[in-house]
Amino acid sequence: MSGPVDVAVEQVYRAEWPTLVASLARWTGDLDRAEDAAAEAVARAFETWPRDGVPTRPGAWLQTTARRGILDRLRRDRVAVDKLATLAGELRDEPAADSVSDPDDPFGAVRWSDTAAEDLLRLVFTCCHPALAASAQVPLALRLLCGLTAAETARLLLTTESTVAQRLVRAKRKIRDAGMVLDIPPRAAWPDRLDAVLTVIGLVFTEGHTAVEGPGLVRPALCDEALRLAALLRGLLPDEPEVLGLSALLLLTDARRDARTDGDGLVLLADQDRTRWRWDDIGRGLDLATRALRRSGDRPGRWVLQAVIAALQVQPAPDREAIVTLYDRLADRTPSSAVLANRAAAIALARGPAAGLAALDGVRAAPGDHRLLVLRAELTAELGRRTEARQLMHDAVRAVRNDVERRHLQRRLDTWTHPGA
Amino acid sequence: MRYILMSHVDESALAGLAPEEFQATIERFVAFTQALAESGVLRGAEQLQSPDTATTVRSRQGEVLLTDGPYAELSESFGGFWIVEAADLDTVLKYAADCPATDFGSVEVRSLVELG
Repeated sequence: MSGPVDVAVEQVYRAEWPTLVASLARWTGDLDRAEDAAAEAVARAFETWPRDGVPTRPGAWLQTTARRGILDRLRRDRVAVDKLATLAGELRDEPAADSVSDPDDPFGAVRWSDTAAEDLLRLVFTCCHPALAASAQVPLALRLLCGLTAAETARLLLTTESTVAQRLVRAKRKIRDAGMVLDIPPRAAWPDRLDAVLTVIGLVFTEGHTAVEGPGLVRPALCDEALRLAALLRGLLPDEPEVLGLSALLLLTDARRDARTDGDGLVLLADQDRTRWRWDDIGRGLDLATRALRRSGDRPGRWVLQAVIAALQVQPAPDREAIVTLYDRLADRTPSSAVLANRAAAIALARGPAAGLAALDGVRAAPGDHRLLVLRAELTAELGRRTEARQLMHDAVRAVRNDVERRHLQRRLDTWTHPGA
Repeated sequence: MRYILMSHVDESALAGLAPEEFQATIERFVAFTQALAESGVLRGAEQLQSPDTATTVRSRQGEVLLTDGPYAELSESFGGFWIVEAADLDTVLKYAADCPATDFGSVEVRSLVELG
């Protein structure tokens, strides 16, 4: 499937998918049933659209097809008689879904968009419910919000299709059997729940931006999915500073995607060819970061802080001390090893390697994380302690699992071993 | 939907409390249970004797085997439960967060299978 029609069908499907699942989930109150029906409708679309053309209102076509599928299935399933009666009643009340009498414009009366945003938000919050494991939240978001199949998700997350399928099945079973409500949490619960949503999007992006393992540094498809999710969330919650902050951070970071590798090598921020940055995205990112900061008052959250840091970092002569101050505030809020390491790196840039190393005192890396070793190695080398630096970098090379990063670190190690080589 | 809140408490943490702290903790458990009862959601609650009073029974090839002690020796042991009626998981998770057992171990929340 790669003809122009298929590409068009694919695009429409990807654009319509989250709304489709979200509205079906509200309608049936059953995520599994919603997703199955959505998948069947999409399969029908792939069959018929290349032949008959893409309908004028593809979203409505998918909705109607999926809802009919659900009703057909319920009719076959006699246990569900009550449910069927309720849904069939609702279908009559919503002229949208079965006003198919006019074959030329079967969906003229459809007004999905009234509730579409709310449906989507409900689905986003459900996917990222803190009662679900993070290992389930990410595949669930990729499946339900990005429309990826288990096989595609498995490729992106470098795991097996059966693992992804199992996690999805388990998550959906828990949502159903534990009585997790498909709903938008009350406003008071938003900071926590929204944080989980933003974390999931951030995780998807981070994995795409620097793949944990494998041959390529960047997995663009994952970055694209994260950007898509961030844009979706921004559309739903355009006034939430943390949402704007996350969007800004992702745009500013992703705009440098092409400049981060040179042939097969890794290029650090300071050495990047700035003409290879996507300046339109940087412009949009800067704008979003400014708006986020303005809206967050005197207590900007972690995504706003990171966005502002990213905004400063793309300046030709960044204000190093300002970046340190922002990292201080970020570390107050989320003292994770990654944040503390980035803060130490910022301190090293502003005040020299000794200050940077001092800031790393007592910071412990998460298991299997090589980045702290790399930073310690680089700062130690800058201080002229070559033997110690070599040992640290040697350990880092052994720990790193991404091929591009490993080559970069090996080259650094070689330069230290054979000075002037 | 009915849910069970199962309290798993680190006995040694409780045993380490000063007498007045221990008394205050017991009173918190009582207050927690009363609050559930007063809001009309409580369907049952029991406290268990300590895990070293447990006898574990297994049947293997028709032979009944008894073991003195709980089915697994864990630092946190099952010590009591509450059964509540609630519309959804989120509501129950809020109740669970107020349970004093969360300070000395954990509270496991599960929905109950409804028959019929």
